[in-house]
Amino acid sequence: MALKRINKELKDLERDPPSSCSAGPVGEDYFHWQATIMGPDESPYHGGVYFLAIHFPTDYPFKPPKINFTTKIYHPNINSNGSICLDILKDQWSPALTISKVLLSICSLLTDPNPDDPLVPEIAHIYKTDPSRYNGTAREWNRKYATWF
Amino acid sequence: MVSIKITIKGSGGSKLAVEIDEEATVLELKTEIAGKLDETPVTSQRLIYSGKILKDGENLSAHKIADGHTIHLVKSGQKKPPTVSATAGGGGGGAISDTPAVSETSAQSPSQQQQQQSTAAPGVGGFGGAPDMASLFESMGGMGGMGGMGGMPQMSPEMMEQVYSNPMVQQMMEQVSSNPELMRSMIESNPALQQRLTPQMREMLADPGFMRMVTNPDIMRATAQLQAAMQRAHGDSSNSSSGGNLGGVYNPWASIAPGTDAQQQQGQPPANPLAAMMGALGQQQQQPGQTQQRDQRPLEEQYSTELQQLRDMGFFDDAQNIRALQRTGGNVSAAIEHLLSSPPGQ
Repeated sequence: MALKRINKELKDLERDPPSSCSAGPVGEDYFHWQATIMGPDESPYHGGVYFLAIHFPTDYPFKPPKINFTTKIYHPNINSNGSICLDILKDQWSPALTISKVLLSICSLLTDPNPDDPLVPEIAHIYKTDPSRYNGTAREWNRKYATWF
Repeated sequence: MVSIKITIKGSGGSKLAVEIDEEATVLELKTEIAGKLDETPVTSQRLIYSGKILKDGENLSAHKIADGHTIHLVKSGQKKPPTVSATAGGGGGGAISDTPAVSETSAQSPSQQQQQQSTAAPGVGGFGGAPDMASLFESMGGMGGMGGMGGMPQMSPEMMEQVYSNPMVQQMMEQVSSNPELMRSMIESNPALQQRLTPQMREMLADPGFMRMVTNPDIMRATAQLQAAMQRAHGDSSNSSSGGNLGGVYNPWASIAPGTDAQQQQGQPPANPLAAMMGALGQQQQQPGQTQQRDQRPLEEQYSTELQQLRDMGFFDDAQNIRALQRTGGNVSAAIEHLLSSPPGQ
């Protein structure tokens, strides 16, 4: 069941992926995927390509997938381990959501951080009090870690 | 030599259809794209497929790129072609260099996938273990939760007693009463019902205490018996005159047994608003006043659109889906709620 659902999502992603995201199995293990998110134009992450690792639980889609960034990113809701603070990956998960939708949500999180529910309070504080400093550091990290290719 | 048609998605939504041999290399594909999409020269093209950056020397077939698939194109800031492992300082490089190792290990165990499938199955098999419960409901004329309870008034009190003492039914009642959300979502998704609900009724429904009372099996049983007694007293001639009001006695049972008063009133708004509300629940898609004519089509047909929706969401077990839909009166979101909240093996 989980595998069937994952397969269906893969088929959909192969044919019609969202314009800023891409995802697929790492190898033959369909429960372990990797994904890329292109930094949104209207964000300091513009021009960067961010990699993410996706692990599906065996009872997917009843439980949310585990998703984390493998590319370093300067963001109030993403910590140095790449963990993402996003409600739909936790208590707000619904089986009607797909990897494609989740990745798009992460994209919008890049454009609009949520400093009121931060994972890295220091970055959230800078984001709120000194936006230009936040933008500068985020751009710098983007250049350093996400545009190496 | 098989030629495949693929789509290249550039930044800002630009698209290009390319026909190319599936054994072609990534570099050959880039040459094909160059100048046609976003004016990107070969050296600054980065092609992304399936979460990976494609390397120039690789064949498209190695990435299982097939007819109809879509590849992303991003412009690299650097002029120099990437030497992946060397320049990859960040975690992104890690993800890429991990790839071969993982595919190697999993390639060694082709049975792994199957294994995972079989371990996943019991977890979601869910209702498979309760066929007796389903058949019980079906034999009761589709009493699949609140939705089907319109069929109840025809039952004798003895039968009702039997039904209520069934642990399965009790469990179901408990589930409904302990989950006011389920009830609320059922109500909110029914437009006919929403129209009829007054603000006061909404308030009542939002009160868990009230919901508990309405769904309390003991109260139901008691009122059912009372109703039966009243019916007997009225005699066969005035058969089903025990409507929602029951001579001023508060009758929560009427609320879920709308059959009798809906028959009586021939589609006029029933006097008891609660009965009206629950009546509409019982009828679901049917028009008011048609309670008598229960939908005789097979369940697969009745719920075909809902079933399709559930399948689209990844619930593939039709039998299980039908049971959940029956129980929630055809409400897809409540059915999902139900499918998810039932522990496996029930």
